[in-house]
Amino acid sequence: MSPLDVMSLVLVAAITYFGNQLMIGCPKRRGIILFFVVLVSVGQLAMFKYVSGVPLPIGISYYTFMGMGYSIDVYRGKLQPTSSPIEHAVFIAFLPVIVSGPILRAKDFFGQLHNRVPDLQRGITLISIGLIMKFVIADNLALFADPIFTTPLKFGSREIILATFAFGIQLYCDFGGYCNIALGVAQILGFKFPANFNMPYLASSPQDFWHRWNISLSSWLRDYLYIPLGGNRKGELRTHLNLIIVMAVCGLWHGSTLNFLVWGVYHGALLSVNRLVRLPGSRVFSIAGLLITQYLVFLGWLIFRVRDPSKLAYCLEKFLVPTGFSITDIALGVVVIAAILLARDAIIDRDLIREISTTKISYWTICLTAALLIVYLISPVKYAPFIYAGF
Amino acid sequence: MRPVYLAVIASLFCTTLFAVIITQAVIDPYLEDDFTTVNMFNFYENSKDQNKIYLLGDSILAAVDPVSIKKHLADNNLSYNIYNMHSGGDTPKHRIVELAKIAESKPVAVVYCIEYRSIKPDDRFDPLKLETDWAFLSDRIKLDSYMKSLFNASELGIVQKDPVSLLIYKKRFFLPAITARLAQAGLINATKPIAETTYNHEHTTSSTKVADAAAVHRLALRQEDFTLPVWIDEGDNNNKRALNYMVRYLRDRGIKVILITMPVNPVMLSEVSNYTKKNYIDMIKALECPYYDLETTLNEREFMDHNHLNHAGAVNTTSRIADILVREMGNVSA
Repeated sequence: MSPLDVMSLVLVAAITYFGNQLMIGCPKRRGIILFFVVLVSVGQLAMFKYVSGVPLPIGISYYTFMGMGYSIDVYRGKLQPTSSPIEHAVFIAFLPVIVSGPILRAKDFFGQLHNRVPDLQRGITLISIGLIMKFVIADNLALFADPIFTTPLKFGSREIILATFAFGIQLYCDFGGYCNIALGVAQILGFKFPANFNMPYLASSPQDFWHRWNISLSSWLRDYLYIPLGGNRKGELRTHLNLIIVMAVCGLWHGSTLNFLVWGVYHGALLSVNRLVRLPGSRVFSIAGLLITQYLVFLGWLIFRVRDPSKLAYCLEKFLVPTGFSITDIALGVVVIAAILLARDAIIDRDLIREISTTKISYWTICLTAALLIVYLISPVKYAPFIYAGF
Repeated sequence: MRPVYLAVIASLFCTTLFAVIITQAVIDPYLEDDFTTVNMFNFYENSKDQNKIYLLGDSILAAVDPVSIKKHLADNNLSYNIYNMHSGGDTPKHRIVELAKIAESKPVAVVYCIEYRSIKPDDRFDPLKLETDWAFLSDRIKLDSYMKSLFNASELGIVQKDPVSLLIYKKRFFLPAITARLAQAGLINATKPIAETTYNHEHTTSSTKVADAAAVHRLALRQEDFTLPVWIDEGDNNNKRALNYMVRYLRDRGIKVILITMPVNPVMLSEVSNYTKKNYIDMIKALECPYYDLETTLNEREFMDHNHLNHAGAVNTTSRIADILVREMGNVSA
């Protein structure tokens, strides 16, 4: 960590710690204290994110939100703050999650701090799965997708579409892989935190998608922004507006360029439309919902990935008007979709981590050996940096 | 000990064991088959030929025909086997990695075919070339302390990997090895690298292409890293030191060393300064070994590009090198 990283971390830890203590000490003034805490936290985050030329401290988006969430919970009376500055600092700077999240809740952390139960088997299972997701799947997909998105104008519709789907899977495996590694390390230390992903590419509606993708961020935004804005309790028009505002903030959390804002608003619009259009619960509509949702989600990833407006316009045109696919491509695509649909019912919402980590120790050892060997042999030579470490 | 700890230890042990087995069973044979430099080392280590002469040099040497040279020597009652050990991008600093192996294979003579680029300041030591060629030979590369002093830390880290780093380095060839085996079995279409193993087959290029003089001149003016002209000053650099050391090292082991400056495209040569030429010749003279200058022996029409020989240039140069060897080895035989 550079001196800037440390400085930012210390600032957030200090402002949230003293803010929490002051809110307990002066309950009548807790509103203004919270306002000051949020102002300084968001201010320093905005300065690093949106002022050009200033390097972004590592993990700033995550620990800033963790600190603010803690202070808001203290303000709401949901949590008593720790009086120990060391414990507070350990929470803000919790090493396993500092680079790329997930965004921890203070109640989850402090609730386990003094009665941790290390689970080595589950922890190593999570880490192994995370390593495969990141270094085998994500980094190899990056070898395909990155060159196409670097110079997209050289490529046609087929390549752009394949690269978009590759990037979507890469992003999930990169971020999800890191989160699994982080949660695995935390598990070994004795902390059991909720998963940050729950099979998002099996979601059958935009709302379902955001219950499954980056759950720690979406739930944070729900609890600390959407609900204070009124949530769905201030009438239909206000609800739609709140959805768009919250998702716009979600987009801006990722970065300062226009494409992130557009991506956020795009998902806000999807959630808004989802609220108006509810498909019947039959199997056919469920499958249709899955296919439509994932098409829209991956279209959104194109906006997320391509930051240059002219290149984005080109890519969107190529994505929305598919050409260049052979019969073999289409047949393969149908087979893949059919396999996903068939597997969906078998795996959706299952706790596969628990199933793997509680299996017989001999089978678990074989699985772990196979996983490590796959990571060793199939991971590419040069590793791509964690994508979400840049946010 | 808790079962899970034993399981983790067992798993790490098994993973390491399988990694070693897969490297030896799958990756090493692929490297042996498909990599030029590995084959070159195999050749040096296994060659029992007592009457051999090596031609060393870069891709310009590639067109020189060792079979024709051998025949010309035989016509002059000299019995030697000629091996064209060209290596693209070769410089003395590159070649010194092989020096111990060259000497151990006991050639009668080494002909080092150099040019101005061979001794330019080594501000560009191509990591791509090293990484793909030499890293997995690091358990076979022998460098003495002087040779090591010619490399910086990261270069040494590539050519002298420890066994663990080497094992991890080789893993990058797992998928290429599988792809190559599938291609060999005809299951997929894939191009397989072709690695030389004999070095004394007919080399003369059949290309009749003639370089476009205007294009070559534009290239000469750009002064790119891979082209002439270069700027050689009178000071030392690691390529000069490497060449100096190579000549002394081989001579001390009873191996005759002959230096030849290869033909240079006249369009490129016109851009080489007299200052560079003087420093180059001064360095060659200081080596005190037989030297032949073929720099101006070809015209523009005998090059297929800015520096590579076409068929006409290859035949001409092969003939000249053959004459040089008759003169030099005739003296040895006498």
